[in-house]
Parts: sequence; structure tokens; C-alpha cells
Amino acid sequence: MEQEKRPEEVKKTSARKWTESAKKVRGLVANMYLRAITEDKPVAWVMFTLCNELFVAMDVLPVYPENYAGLCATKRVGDPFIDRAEADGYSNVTCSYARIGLGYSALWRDTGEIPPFAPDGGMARPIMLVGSSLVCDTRYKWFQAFSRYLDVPYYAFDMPGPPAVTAHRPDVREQYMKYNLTQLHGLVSFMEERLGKKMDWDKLDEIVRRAEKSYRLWYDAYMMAGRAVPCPFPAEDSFRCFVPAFFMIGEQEALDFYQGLYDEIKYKVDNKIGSLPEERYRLLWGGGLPPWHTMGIFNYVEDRGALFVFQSVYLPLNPADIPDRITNPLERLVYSRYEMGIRRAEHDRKLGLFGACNFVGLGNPLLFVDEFKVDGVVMHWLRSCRGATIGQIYQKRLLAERSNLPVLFVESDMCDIRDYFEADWKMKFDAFLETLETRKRAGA
Amino acid sequence: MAFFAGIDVGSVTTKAVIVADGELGVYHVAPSGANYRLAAQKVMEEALAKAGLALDDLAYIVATGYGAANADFAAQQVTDISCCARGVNRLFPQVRTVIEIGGQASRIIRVNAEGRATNFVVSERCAAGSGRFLQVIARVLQIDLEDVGPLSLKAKNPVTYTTGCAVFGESEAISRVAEGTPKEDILAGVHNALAAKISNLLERVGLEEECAITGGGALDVGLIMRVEQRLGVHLLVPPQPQITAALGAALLAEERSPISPA
Repeated sequence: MEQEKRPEEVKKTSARKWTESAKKVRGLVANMYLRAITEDKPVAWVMFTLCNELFVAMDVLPVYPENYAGLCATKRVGDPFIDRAEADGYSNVTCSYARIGLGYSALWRDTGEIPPFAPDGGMARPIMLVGSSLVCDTRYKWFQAFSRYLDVPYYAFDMPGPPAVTAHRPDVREQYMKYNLTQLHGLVSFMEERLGKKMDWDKLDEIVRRAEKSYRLWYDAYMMAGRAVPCPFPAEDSFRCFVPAFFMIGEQEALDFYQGLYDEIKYKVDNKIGSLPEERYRLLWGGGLPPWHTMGIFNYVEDRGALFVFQSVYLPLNPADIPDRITNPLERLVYSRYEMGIRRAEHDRKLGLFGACNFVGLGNPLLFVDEFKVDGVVMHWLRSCRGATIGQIYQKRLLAERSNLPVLFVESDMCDIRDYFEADWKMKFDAFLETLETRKRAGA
Repeated sequence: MAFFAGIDVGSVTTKAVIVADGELGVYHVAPSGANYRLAAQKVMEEALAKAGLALDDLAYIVATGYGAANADFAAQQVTDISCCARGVNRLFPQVRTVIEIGGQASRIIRVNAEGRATNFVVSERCAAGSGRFLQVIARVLQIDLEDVGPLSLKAKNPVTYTTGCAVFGESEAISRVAEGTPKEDILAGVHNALAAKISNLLERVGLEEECAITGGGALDVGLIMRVEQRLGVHLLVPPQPQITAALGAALLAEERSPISPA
């Protein structure tokens, strides 16, 4: 019955790729799942936790159900998984990343096999599950449910963002570092027990430092592209190129990828090679995850002379200069995360935005609109993602007060295509571009 | 004399307007039904018949609305946001904010002195924020849509809707009927709920007076009263609020036509 629901004719819904680097991502993703299926190495299903380095060091192949859900959405094969999860009682406003993964697990449990229509061969069977508190609250229970479906041990750890208002205080920093170190040591102990071997700390140190270089290149490449006029690296490309940083960081392949991305963008910027012949309107994707099911909508906007020159959702981590005195790799990890958080908090403080959440970064769109010469901002309301939607009205108000920039809201979901209404999106984009033209003519 | 037309193929009704020398000539409004292409053809034919013209007599046609693509006789499509702004500007040049209540969605449009939209916001994909909500409740109460407004003005104790959803709102209306709540109080409650949603939308783009209300929802005097109460402003209402976007489309047709008006 589930197979009957698989779309027979899936129309191409992906966006154009403007850079050679973006074209490489699909292959990296496919290889990530293939390796987990074919290589004789332990597999862990992992939540995006900013510590992929630990898995690389322990020779574990991490598989990220979040990424896999996005893949299913881009292939438009997510519906049977979503239906299966909802049949088990999960609400249609539960995170669609979670619903796809839960439906996948339920179907696997039903049949004892990877669902035959799972793209890229499916997610390999894990020997452990690792979740964290980072970003949103669904994460704890989601992996706990995986554990029940798959009968695989689950480890959850806490990873709080630095407090927005007091992050700069030395005593707060000390407490935060101590607490997060404890949490990561707990994770290492869990992995050592599951794998029956000890962490190789020298190897981890090498991997952490490699990751630091990757993060630096990622950050520099994205910022260079956002500032460039014309922009050679629009948002749909950057929505692809964050993948190695989120899901492969610490691997040599990720470092090579970001070196290539940096070189490519630098060449294009130096030679003023943009994406569109004329950037009539420069847009910022200023909130909400993209519609993975219909990334081709970016082409619709581009065909009308508008380019999303930046997205402030999957932001590169602002790389920290870690002091030489910090030699423990776990401490280096924690230090860089803390610095990332407080830098965002400092930005928010400069903007007068007290109480903003550091990792979500409520002030984000405001940080980029001037420097990146943006004409308008688009935000995406996600029916099943509170974490990426909350605060958007507040941000819109701030943009109106401080920059007089128009903001367009579009609504659907990152993966659940049932929440997407293409005619509505196109009408809104058309009307938005008309208003931008009016403003341009008026010299606003 | 050159004639120009605008056609607004909306989710509930289709409207055609023919103008000459920038002045409204004739218009026609009919339900869109389930076949937008047929509705567009028929409504345009009726408007042409009223004007005593043939399709070839029209120098330029602009289509707008959700079903604009079905008006294949039109030379151009323009969004209903821009058309509504242009139409309102012709009727009320002093208006800077438009509340447009359509069958599919409600929109707040900020308009400049030239009749161009400078900002807008559209209600969420939810019938409770549009004229559809009124249709749903009118059907529950078994009254004609045109009677909703006058009847609601008699309300003494408007009900408070506990939901922001048209589907649940329908159930709630049925419950109220079962409790014996007067129809006018139920209707006034719907108007209050819609007025609250409109007020929330307005917060996002700001209200600059003067302010007009258009679309099918502007035929409802009860809704207008509740929105005015909620916002504390007087609303200007076009004589035929449904055709505002079609009028704007016709004016844009005149402006964009390669043929200069005689």
C-alpha cells in the first residue's frame, strides 16, 4: 500500500546550481548514505549537535535523520513516511523532519527491511542513537522514539546556548564551559562503551583542528559571497553547501570542499562574475528553513530579476580564535561554540535586542541587510517548525523600524508538501517584486 | 475612442470592467464556479454585451486574481495587489491603506499617491481570515450572504469565538445555534473575529489614513462596522467594492497598452 503512494512521475523541483561546489553536494550526500550501508563500520544516527568530530575520531559513520528527511522532501518521497508516522499518532504539526524519520523507522520495524522507496539506499541500521537539546525541544523525544522503534540504545545530552544577557561574564563562561565539557565527556563515555574502545585523543585533536579550518573557510566564503555585487553564490547554493559543515565536519573531504568553495567564490568575486545578468533586486532569505520539496521556486524569483544573495538560516559559525593555551580538543570544541554564541549575543546587544536566543539569533536579518545591500527580506513560516519560525514577526517589526525594508512572509513547511500552495507563493512573490519596483523608482 | 478591460478571476466571483478615457464604463460580476476559464469568458462576454462591444474592440486587457491565467484573451497578468492599489487610487486618491477582503484571503495594502503598492501583507492560508468564513457561517445559519451584514447590526450580545479556524468555527456556530443563540449575535461574533484578524495584519504593515475597505467582504455593513470599531478609523467604501481590482486592471490596461487612448 505504501508503495502505491510513491509518486510515479516526480517533476523536477530542484533549483538551478550556480557554482561547481553546489553541484558536488549531491554526490557527497549520496556517498554519505552509501558508505553507511556498504562499509563495515559502526553507524550512529545523530542529531545535528555541533560535535561530528567525535564520531569521525571514533571511526563511526554518522547518519543524520534531519538531512535524510530533507533528501526525501527534495525527492518528493517523504509522504509515505509522514503518513506512517501520523498513523502512529504523531500530530501533523510535529516536526516534519521527525515525522519522516519516525515513519521510516516504523516501516522498517513493520517489514524488517529498509523501505524499498527510500532514496540513496536508505539510512543504515545504527548501533547507537545520539540526540541533544541543541536548537529545539522535539529533539529529545524524537530520538527516544527512534530507540523504541529500532531497539537501539539512545544517548541524549544537553547543549544549551550561552545566555544572551550574561554571556560575557567570566563566572558564566566558566560555568558554561564546565557544564558542556561534562556533557561531552558523557557522550564520549557512552560511545566508548558501545564501541568497546577508547577515544584516541590525539586523533580527535587533529580532527578538531581540521574542522576549525573548515569552519573558517566556510564562514569566509559565505560572507565574501553575500557582500559581493554581483553575487556569485545565491541562497539556493548556500542551502546546499552547508551540508558538509553540518554533517561531515572534521573529515578531510569537508575541508577540501570548503577550500574549493572559497577558491571558487573568490575567483568569481575577483572577476565580478555574478549569477544573473542584472540583479534588479537583491533579497535576503531572512528566516525559516527553505522549502526542500520545491527549491525550484528560487528559479521563479530569479527569472523575474531577483536574487537571494544570502540566507541567514544556516549561518556559518563565526569562527573563534581559540587561544593556544587550550589544548584539550573537547575544550576547544566547547570554547568555539561559546564564542559563536556570545558573538551573536554581542551583535544583538549592539542592536539593542536584549533577550535574544543566541543560536537562533533573533537579530540576524538586521545584521546583513545593510552590508549585503538588500532590497527586501523574505521569511518562511513553517507549519511544523516552531524553532525556526518563532520571532519572525518581531524581526519583521525591527526591520521596518530600523531599515524600512519590506518583508514578505510565505508559508508552508520544510518537508511536508501538503502545506505548500504554489499559486499562493508565486502570487506573493510577483506582488512583492512589484512593490520593490515601486520603491526603487521612488528611490526608497 | 479606445476601450480597455480588466478581468479579476477570483476564487468566489469573477469581475470584468471596461473603461474608456480612464472612466468606468460597464462591469459585470458572476460566480467563478469550478471552471475559471469558462467563468472568465462568460463574464467578459456579458460585460462586452452591456457595453455593446466585441472583444476585438478592446485595445488591451489585463487579467488579475487567482485564476488570471485562465483569462487567455488577456494580454497581460498583474497581481491583484497592484490592481487593487490602482483601482482604489482612482476611486479615493487620498487613501494610503487598503483592507481587501476576498474569498481566498484578506490583504492589507499600503498605497502611495500614484496608486502603487508599497507594502502588503496577506492573511495566512486559513479560511478564518477571509470572506470564506462568512460564507461558511451564513450557510450554517441558512441565510443569504447579503443578509449577513444587516442582520448582524441587530446583535445585542455578540458571541466570542474561541477558535481562529473556519472549520472549528463552523462547529462552534452549530453549537451556538443548538444553544438557541440568536443568529445576529453569532454573525456579530464572526465579524469581531474577522476584525481581530484584520487588525493583527494591519500591525505588520502599519495603518496610514485614509483607509478603504474593498473586496466582497466590503459588501457586509456589519463587518465594516466591527472593523471600524476595532481600528478606530472611518473606512471608505467604494460603491462596488468587489470590482476594485478589476477596475485597477482595466486602468493598468489603459496605461500599458501600446495603443494610446483616443
